[in-house]
Amino acid sequence: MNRVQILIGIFGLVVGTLVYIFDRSLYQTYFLFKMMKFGYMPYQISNNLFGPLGGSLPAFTHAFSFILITAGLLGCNKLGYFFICLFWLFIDLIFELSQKFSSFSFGLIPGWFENIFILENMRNYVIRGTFDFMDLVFICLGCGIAFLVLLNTEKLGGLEK
Amino acid sequence: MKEWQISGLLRYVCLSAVILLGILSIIASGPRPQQNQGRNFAQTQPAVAINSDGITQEITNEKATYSQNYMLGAVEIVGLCDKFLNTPKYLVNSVGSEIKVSYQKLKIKYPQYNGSALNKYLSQLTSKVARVGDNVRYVDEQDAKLTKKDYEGSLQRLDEIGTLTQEIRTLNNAISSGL
Repeated sequence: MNRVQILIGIFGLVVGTLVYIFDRSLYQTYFLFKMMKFGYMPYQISNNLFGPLGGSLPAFTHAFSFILITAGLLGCNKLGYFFICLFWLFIDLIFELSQKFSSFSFGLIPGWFENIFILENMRNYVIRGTFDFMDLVFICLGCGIAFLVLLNTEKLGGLEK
Repeated sequence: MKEWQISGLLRYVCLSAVILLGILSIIASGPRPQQNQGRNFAQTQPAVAINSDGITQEITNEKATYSQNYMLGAVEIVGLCDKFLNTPKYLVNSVGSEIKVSYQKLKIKYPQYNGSALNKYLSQLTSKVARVGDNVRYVDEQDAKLTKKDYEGSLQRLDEIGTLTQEIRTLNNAISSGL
């Protein structure tokens, strides 16, 4: 397990979450709407705190953070890092492309998802989500930078081998 | 050895949780449901044929018997209904309430005209406006729900909004022409 990698990953996740909390309105995002139960204000806090980066930054931080957390938990070698990066690149690309080919993707979503927390939003994600080429770029960038960070933190923060 | 196995098992439990969390977080960051998009209210046809020429004629015939202030009150309601037809969705109920209040005031102020043709058509007009407001409210309520939405009911009400909007427009123009 590599503590440093996990902490960097969690930090990335926090940054990604802040983009939603500060720059997106309640009416745009499923999880913000759910947060209303916990007293979350119904309108976005800032107008555009993260500027033009705010649009695709979550795509970057998602890929980056989950690669670091996964690799940190597994404590593997360079080849392991590579496959972890490939795995999350695949997951993020699949979801982004599902918005591009929404009709096809919609048909693949089982009906019972409608009754399950979070999964109930899958159809909305596909149909109402917006495909953005910049998101693809940021996902690839996130995976690439995560790989470099993994290589540079391999010797740091190890608890066990 | 046993401790290492537990540690290993825990690690893979955590790993599975992280992968699940990663996938669910993508879905949760998606747009929340909203069914009333992409529906064109103007596509539906009026359910009830409104004889606008007949309405105009009826009002014109009685026009001489109305007082000037009653006419002015009716003109205000007709104007508000025109505003209602051009109002953004989030203000529909607000303008609807204005129309209802204006009509009630007119009825209280001029009870002698309660049997008039103008009152009959203003009553029909305000009822249709109120019904649009109810439908908009229902669709919004369904829209705000995250589960167990009445999709079919919402679509029916959206269709009805389309029909009522056309009826209000026709009726409003007919009354306006008669005044």
